[in-house]
Order: sequence, then C-alpha cells, then structure tokens
Amino acid sequence: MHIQFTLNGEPIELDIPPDMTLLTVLREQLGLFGVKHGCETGECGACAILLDGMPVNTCVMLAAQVDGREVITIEALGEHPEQGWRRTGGLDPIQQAFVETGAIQCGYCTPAMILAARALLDRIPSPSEGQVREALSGVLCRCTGYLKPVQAVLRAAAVLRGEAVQPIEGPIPAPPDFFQAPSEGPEGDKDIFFGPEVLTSTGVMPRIQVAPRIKPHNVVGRPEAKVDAVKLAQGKPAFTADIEMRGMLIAKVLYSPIPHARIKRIDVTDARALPGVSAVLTWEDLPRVVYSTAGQSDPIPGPLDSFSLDNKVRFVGDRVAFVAAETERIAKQALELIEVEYEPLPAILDSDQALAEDAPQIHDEPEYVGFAESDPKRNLAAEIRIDIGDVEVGFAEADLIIEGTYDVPKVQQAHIEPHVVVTYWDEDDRLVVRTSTQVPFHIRRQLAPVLGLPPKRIRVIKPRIGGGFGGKQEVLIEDVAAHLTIATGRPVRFEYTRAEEFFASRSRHPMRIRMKTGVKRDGTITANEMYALSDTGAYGCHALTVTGNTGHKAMALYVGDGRYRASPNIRFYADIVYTNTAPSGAYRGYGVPQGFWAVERHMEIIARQLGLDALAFRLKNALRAGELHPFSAAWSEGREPRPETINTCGLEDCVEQGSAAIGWAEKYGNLDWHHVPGKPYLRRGIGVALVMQGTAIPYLDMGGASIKINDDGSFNLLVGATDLGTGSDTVLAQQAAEVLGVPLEDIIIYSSDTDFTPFDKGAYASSTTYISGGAVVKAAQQVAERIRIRAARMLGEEIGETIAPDEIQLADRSARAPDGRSVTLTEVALNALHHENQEQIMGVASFMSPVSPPPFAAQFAEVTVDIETGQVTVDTLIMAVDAGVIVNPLTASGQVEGGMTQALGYAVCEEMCYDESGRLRELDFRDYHIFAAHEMPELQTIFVETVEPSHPFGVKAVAEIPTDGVAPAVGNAVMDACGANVVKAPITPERVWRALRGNG
Amino acid sequence: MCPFEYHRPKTVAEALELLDRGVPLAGGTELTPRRDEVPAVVDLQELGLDYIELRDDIFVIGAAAKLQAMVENEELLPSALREACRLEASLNLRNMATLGGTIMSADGRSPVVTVLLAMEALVVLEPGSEAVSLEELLEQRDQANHRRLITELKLKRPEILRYEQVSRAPTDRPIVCVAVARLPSEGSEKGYRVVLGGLGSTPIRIQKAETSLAEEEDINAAAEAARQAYASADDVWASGEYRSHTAGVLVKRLTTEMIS
Repeated sequence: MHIQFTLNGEPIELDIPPDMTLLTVLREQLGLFGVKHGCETGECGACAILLDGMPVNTCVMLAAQVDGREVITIEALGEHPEQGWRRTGGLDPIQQAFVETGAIQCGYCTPAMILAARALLDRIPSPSEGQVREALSGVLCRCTGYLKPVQAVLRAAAVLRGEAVQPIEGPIPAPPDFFQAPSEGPEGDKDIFFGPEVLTSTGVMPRIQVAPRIKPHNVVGRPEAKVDAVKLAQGKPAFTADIEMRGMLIAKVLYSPIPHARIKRIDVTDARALPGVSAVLTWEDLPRVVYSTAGQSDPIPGPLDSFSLDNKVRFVGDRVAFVAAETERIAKQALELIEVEYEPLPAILDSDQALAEDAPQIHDEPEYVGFAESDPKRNLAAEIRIDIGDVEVGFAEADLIIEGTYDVPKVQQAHIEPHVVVTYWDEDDRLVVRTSTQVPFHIRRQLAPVLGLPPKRIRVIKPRIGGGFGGKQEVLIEDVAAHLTIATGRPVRFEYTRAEEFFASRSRHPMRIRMKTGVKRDGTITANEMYALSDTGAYGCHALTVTGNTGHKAMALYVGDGRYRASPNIRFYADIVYTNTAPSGAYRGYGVPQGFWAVERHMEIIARQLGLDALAFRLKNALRAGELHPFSAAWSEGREPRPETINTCGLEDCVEQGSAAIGWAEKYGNLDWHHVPGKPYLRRGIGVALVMQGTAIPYLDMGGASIKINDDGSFNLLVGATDLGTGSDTVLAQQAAEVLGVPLEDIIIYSSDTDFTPFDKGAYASSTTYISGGAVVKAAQQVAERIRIRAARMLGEEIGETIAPDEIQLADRSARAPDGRSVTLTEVALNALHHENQEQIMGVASFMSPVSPPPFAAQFAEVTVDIETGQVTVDTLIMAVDAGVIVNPLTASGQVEGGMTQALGYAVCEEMCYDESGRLRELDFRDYHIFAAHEMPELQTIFVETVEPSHPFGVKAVAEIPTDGVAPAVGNAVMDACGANVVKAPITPERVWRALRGNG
Repeated sequence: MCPFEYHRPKTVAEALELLDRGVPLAGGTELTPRRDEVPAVVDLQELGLDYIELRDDIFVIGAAAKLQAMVENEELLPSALREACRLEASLNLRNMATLGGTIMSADGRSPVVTVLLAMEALVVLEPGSEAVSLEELLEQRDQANHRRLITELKLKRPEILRYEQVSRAPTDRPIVCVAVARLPSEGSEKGYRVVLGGLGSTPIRIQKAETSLAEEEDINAAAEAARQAYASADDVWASGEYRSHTAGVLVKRLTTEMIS
C-alpha cells in the first residue's frame, strides 16, 4: 500500500506491505538504523520514535498507522561537530549532555532516551527530576541504572534554558565534606502527580576517596566522555544488525516444545519446497561435532556436550532445525511446515531430582567429553570438593554452630540488544562472522571445528555491542547463521526475539545453598562451610567455573579472627547438575552473587543471634591486606592453583564511608526511625552486605594491544578487548594517552576484529581495565621509548649535544628536553615517517597477571516493608567500592549504578520459573520485570581508592562486584525492618509475608 | 503476496461496514504482534473518538482516548483512575494504547479495568448505541463479535475513589490490586463498589463487600468478603492463601479511608 508522512521534517512517500511494522520499514526500507530492535511487544522502548511529538514504540505499530502523520527519529538530531570545511551545528544539547555525563553505556537505548527527553523538554523546559524519570520510563536501560541519563536530561534542560551548568569535572568531593549527606540527591518524588519539586544536581561525579599518587596523572582519573559516545548519541549504524547486504537471508530456528525427547523422524520436504526458502537444516545435514558453547580459553574447563543440531532435545527451546529464507515471514512459515515426531523421555525439571538413582540420563551421547569430575551417568556436569584447613576441628572449637539454607533463582541477563549475528563469505571465501559477542577470539577458535573450517578461514568482527553482561560470553547463535551461509553461499542474519532470549538463551545458575558456620561467643568464626547444588540446565557451559567462583569469592571473604586468620577452616562443596531446562551460563558476577546471597544473609543471622554489631562482626572476620587469599592455593577455574596474597583491601574504609553516607549510626537499632508516621503498617529497615570479587583469572587471562603513530602525532590503538558498552575502549585509550602525554582525543582506538587486532581473551571475569589495560600501557611504553629516542636525537642535533632518551618527558603532545626545548609529536611523527632513518614507531605488547587482586565493597540498602502485605520498597542503595585507582569516574560509577540496578531486580522481582511441562513462565518484559527510570531507589556510588601494585596504574576491577551485595543487603534490611527472614530470592511480597508468619 | 488489509475509515458508519472484513485496530500495542491472526484491521485513529469529557457527573471517554491522555488529564479525572492508567503500561505504550483497546485485551491483572469496574463503567457499542456494563462486556469479550465497535465509555463520577496494588516492584503488574469507590447515592442507598484484581481473565466485583458497606458500613465484613472471594485465587504468581489475606488487608485499608 502507499503511504505518505513527514519524516524528520521532509515529506516522504512509500510503498509498503500493509502488515509491516514501522520498525521494519524504518530500518530495512529507509536505512534509519538509529531505531533499534529490543523486543516485539513494545515493552523495552529501544525502537521509539516521536510520532506527532510523542514517544511511541515502532515494533508494535504498523507503518500504515503513520500515514499522514509526523515522524521524528534520532537521525533528525545533531551531527558531528567536525565535518571538514562544512560548518555544522554540532550535536543537539541533549545529545551533548548524554555524551558528557556518562549517560551512554552500550548506547543501544540511547537514541530512544534522547528522543524521549526531547519530547519532554519541548513541552516542559524546566522539568523536575520526577518528570524526567517519568519521561524516560518508557525506555528500559539495562546498563546505567538511569541516574546519569536523568542527570543528562536535567543538564540539557539547563543548557537549553541558557543557564550555566556545573563543569563535569568538578572538584572531587573529599573529606571533610565527604562525610556529609549530600544536600542534593537523586531522591525525592517518584510520581509526577504528587510533589514534583525536587531538583537533582547536574553534577555527575561520584565521591572518591582518592589514593595518593606517586606522580599526578593527566588523563587517567579524569571523567572523560566515552570515545564512542558521539556516534551512539546520533544512533549511527554501529551495531551488528545495522548493515545492509544484497541477498541477505533471514534465519529462524525451530525449537523443541518438550523438555526431553528423541527425534524419531523429521520431515522438511514441505518447508524446503516453500518459495523463498533457501535452506532447511536438521541434524541429518550437519557433521556431528561435540563442543562447548562456553566462550573460554583453551582447554575449555568444562564438558563438551553440545551439538549444533542433535537427534535428541534436552529442554523446551532446544534446537531442532534451522531455516534461511528471503524474509522473516517466509522463514516462520517454513518452520510451521517442518514435521517432527518426538519420542518423549522422562524429564528432570528440579535440580533436587537430578542425582536420584532412577533419574533419566540427560547426556547419553557417546561423544560426550567430560572435564575433571563430570559424570553424565549421574547427570553431574561438574563436582567441586574444596577443603581449606579442617572444618570439623573448627566446628569442635565453636561455641555455636549456625546452619541455614538459601535459594537463588534463575535470572536473565536481559541486555536490550538481543543476540544477533550476520555471516557471509568474503571475496577470498573466508567466512566473516559479524556478531554481538564478548569473546570474538574464542568464537573463532571454538566455531571452526563445528563448521569444518580452520580458524584461519574465519574472521570475527565485533562492532558496538548493546550490552552482554555475560550472556554474550557464549558461542550461542553464530553457528546457526554460519551453517546457513555455508549451505546457501549467501549472507545470513540471525537475531533472537525477546522470547528466544528467555527460553533459548543462557541465564544465571539457580542454586540451593546450605551454610554451616561455627562461631565463638565473641564473634570469631572458627569454621565456615558451604554446599551448593547448582543447576546448569541442559548443557554444562560454564558449569564448573561459575559455581567454583561461588565458593572461591563468597567463601573467601570471612576467614575468621585471631589464629584462624592464618589458617582458616573453610569447606566448599558443590554439585553442578543437569536438568531439562534452558542452560545456565555466564552472567555478570559469575556465581558470586549466588554465594553472597547465602553468605551475607547467613552472617546477618549469626550477628543477630550473637547480639553483635552487624558491621563490627563482619570486619572482625573479614580478609585483610597482607593475608593469603584462602582459595588461591585450592582452586583456580579448573587449572593449577597458586598461592596469592591480598595486596590491597579498602574494606574498612568502604564500611566507614558507606555507613556515613547512609546514616547507619542514626538508623540502625533506632526504633523511632523504623516506624513511619501515620502508616502503622510500614516499617523501615537498613541492611548491609560486604562483598569481594576478583580481577581476571590469574596465569590465564591475556590481552594484547598494538599502537602506532600517525603523521599528525595521533595514535591508532588496536585491542582485542571487547567493549560491550562498559566503556573499556575509553579507559584503555585513557591509559595509552597518559603514557604518551597526549589528550584522549589523539588516541583512535579500535576493538575488535580477529584479522587485525591482537588477541584478547574477551570481556569477562572483570578483567579488561586491568589485563587489557596492562597490555595497552606496555605497548604505549614501547612507543614512548621510540619517541624519546628520536626526540632526543632531534633535540640534541639542534644544539650539537647528546641527550639521553630517558631524560625526555612526554606531555602536552610534545617531547621535552630537560632544558625546556621540545619537539611536538607531529614533528617526531613526520621525522620518523618521512624525513630520516624512517621507521613506523609502534609497539605491541600483551599482559597476563599472576594475581587476581580482589575489589572489595560495602553495599548498604534501606527499605520500607508493608508488614501486612509483605510488599518491599527499596528506598536507597549505596555502594562504597575499593576498585583500586579509578581510571574514569564516570564510566566506573556507571558500572556501579547499573550493576546495583540489575542486582536490585535479583533482589526483588527477577525470576525465571518452569511449569510441570518444562515451559518457562517469563517470555517478555511484562512478566519479567526489570526496573524502569521512575521506580528506582536513590543510588549512590563511593569509591575508596587503593593502589594495586600489580598494575601500572594501580587499578582493580569494578564491573561485576556491584551485582554481588544488593540482594543480601536488601534481605538484611527487610529483616531489620520487620524480622522477616527471607531465605529465597527474589524477596517477593508473598515470601516476606510467609517469613513474617514464620514459615518462610 | 500479502493477504493482510489495512483500512482507515473516516466515520463510525464506514468503520462498521469495514468490520465485516477485519477487526478494529486501536493503538495496536496488543494487536500488531498478533497481526498474523487477522485478515484485516480497521484503524480507528480518524474517528474522533479520543475525547475526555464530564457531562452531568458522568465521565464520557472516547474509546480511542489514549491512556496517557487520561494520565495527564488532571483537570477532570480522579487521581486513582489516572494512577491506574499510569500503572497499566509504560509511557511509550500509553502514548499509543487506547482505553477501548485496553479493555478488550486486558486481563485480571489490569489496574485500569479494576478501577473502571469500581466506577461502574458502561461501554457504548455501535451500531445501536447500546450501553452495556463493563462487567457484561468482559464476560462476552471472548465470543468475538467483529461487527460491533466500542465507541465510548461512561464512568460514574465517584465521591471517593481509591486504588492500591501489591507488586514485586513499584510499576510491576499487580499480584493483588483493589479499587474501592463511593458512587453518588441513588435514593437512600450509598453506592459502594469494591473490585479485586490480580488474577485470571478479569478483575471481579465483590458484591457482598459492597452490600456490607452500604448497609452497615461494616469494614470487617467487607474485608472478609474479599478474603472469601480470593480464597482459592491460586496461579503461578501467588498462592490463594496469600492473595486472600492480602485482598482482605487492602480492602480493609481502603474502605477504612473511604468510610472515615
């Protein structure tokens, strides 16, 4: 049908199929890739545009509906400020504010947020914080926790009103101001109707207790704008799906409707005959190659138990057949034409039943390759038995033994960009895999045998990624598109729907955890024991390593006091079992949030039972600097463990700063504060959890970097590290800029492409700033050395003397001699590339660490509980973190805010449940609720710096630790509020109510 | 070749004729994802059915009024109705979704339908300008009658209207929700309305609770009636035991406010 409408100010006429959504028309017919696909039901808002000035979601709108109306997309707003001789208006003030404030992480929802802000500010030039939150509430963001986007909109509003705004790089709030409660904060009204008057600060710097520096830094430590922010704010076609290719086919997968079955017969005759279908593949068409989908280093520390397609299905959502067709509609029709006859088998849907004698065997394939203790006959993907010291001796020495059982649910990473891949043969008949992945190099290595290609004939390109959080540390869908490209010779795109993300993707391992702890009356822990029953689902990807970290991190924090510090008694046993549910996998925190839910709920109960101060009891027993990481000599991700000493631990300062910020002393144990005037059924509560994580996997994780100088003294920095929205490109470039004495804008960073960036193991295990950063610093030092040698010669020749290269200082884009004379880096570059003794100044380096220095944190939470209904409202989350030296306060605090927000969902509302037939309850964002901008608690980030000696700039990790403490801190706050001991997360109203009645 | 048809009539009469071919398309937020199931859609956007008016103490709201227009209509609409609209869907969806589309697609966990039932909503259907109660319409909703079109809703203007819900997060869908209203008296009888939601295909009116309030202002009896109504209100999201208890708590809380 024919439609006409106004698009970004210009009239446009189009012929469209009447059933096509506006999203598809905008992206595929008009090439407006700033409109993103995040779901098909309108709940995420990534596909928003302005229709007659109001934000609406184009995935649930027919293009025909906009006939005669006015459409604005992000492409209408702003442009890059530098376009050669042509003057431009630059970015829109809203885009500029998003860039400056750190409001952009992955950038996938950014265009929609900016448009929502535009709609608001067009109507209300001076919005309150509540109005801003309401305006952004139609767009879900999984990265930021919304604080910085809200600040960005308020900042843009002030700019548009012509007011002066605080510089981003304000003075870092430091003692003595440090301990004062903020006069302006993101708290206040949560509802547009009732009292929208509180205005938040437009200052975005987190509070930092700065560690003394050996020498001052110029770029490291500064709140630099993310290097990719300008393009993301404009909605440029930067993501995997944002390309057009002639002849590209659309892939779809047929999934199993039953949890456990053999495929007796599969008939694809009709599907293949359907016009527009290019290929239909079943297990009969593909080579039978066993592999693991977990994206990890060689050798994979887990079982090889997966096939691209198999004659057996092991969960509802397991793959049965692949289809490639000209259009999505044809591909879906083809799926319906495939006839499958299943022989149903008994299924295991509850991990408690997996180890039973008569349990059905989920993995009976002869190709199965076990790792360590895996035993498919018993449905055991992995088993862990770690004894440090002797817990039985410790229990015998205890005055009191306290036991408890704690449950954590299966939850979804819920990155807003789904898994998506495009594959094609290039002109050399090498297979190009353009994919939304955290692990491009693992993809190439692990995919190769599955496809029957050597790795050298595969090129993996990682463009911008719209969030991953572990979900993309997986060879999850690349094989589907690749098999279909091999079958058809044509480019193929495969993108998950939101429902597929839930039922067919990976998730956090659900666990049932038993704790047993021996304590003396004075609070000394004498022995600590954990047993975890971990559910890996149908396949064992990440089975051993996720659950290993549950113990390795969460059980390492409390070693005991006095003589127990030197020789703690700790036991960690775990069984990781197969069930007929969707596979678990990697999710930010990687087993550690599960562990800390149990450990920190348990510590709270012990402190209360002993009548001890919750903070003092924890600090008395917690690990300290100079002590041995108790697990380091016992376990290392299935590899050889080597002892490791904790160099830095800011935990006590974190407790001090965090408790000052939340007002712990005034609230904890204060009866008056616990009651809410006029609401006799409400109780306030305050809670804490102390947590630790790791920084990379020692003796294993390696990142590489290369740097070369250009004619103008700028540098290309190539890294294999995988920025998936976290800002790692920015913090890596900052480290290079610091070493080379140039501003950040002179570093052009690119990540990652297996053909021309050095190897990096990928974005996981909280490693990039530290590991890849270490490589960048070493490569930059090599370049700096070459520059110094050349500059010394250039400056020496001027005066006929010899200058030692190590006397040359690099700063302000120049190389300076001790006498003050200098040459610019442009002069050095021209000299090297063109004038004399020509050479390409460049450096290549890699970094691997023998230690995994843990970040530490104190997580505080404040809640209000309705003791009649059990409803919990989380009011405040404050996290004080020792993540070493902070390279970029904006990106680092963005990690903390976003991580706390994901963990808030884990605490109160996120959960994936299966019914008796193995079907998942949650298939969209209506049933799987993730927090929106207008329902957030106040978030605060405090950094307590330490200087980690194993890294050139003293950094530790910050990425995962924010997911560890929120759930137990909220659980402990609920207990503080009303005595309810909720042992099963998430803390739903019914669970609180049951706990209050004593049957939680 | 795509068999799907899109129509955009300019008048209700034209729309009614087109309903022979397909189904009404309001905002599209529910229908668009299911468009494969229908042969044609009749887009209602140009019928002028987006008014929100107060006539003789009756709110008359066009079926194509957007939920967000209702949220923002501070001048006319009671805050509990506006809040229920706000909780029904996210902002971008509320800019699309209409009141008529919502009542045709909402289930028992719908804040809006819970409140509308407490306001004794009448639904006006064309042809024939027949006004049926919302309760009746909800019962007949599944017996698809494509020939009829909802053109507007009429809501009693309550003297008091309250809504509260229990959910896992502030704007999550309710596990239990309650709307109570005191409607203008007809004769000597006070018109109390008590509606429970959070379960099943529609929220339900608790007439026993309404009677207890009308006859004796007996809050405890009203709460007990709510508890009984949800005594076996089990589903995958909550147990009947919990829902029953919580329904009693919320009804008691809201009716106490209303009576005093």
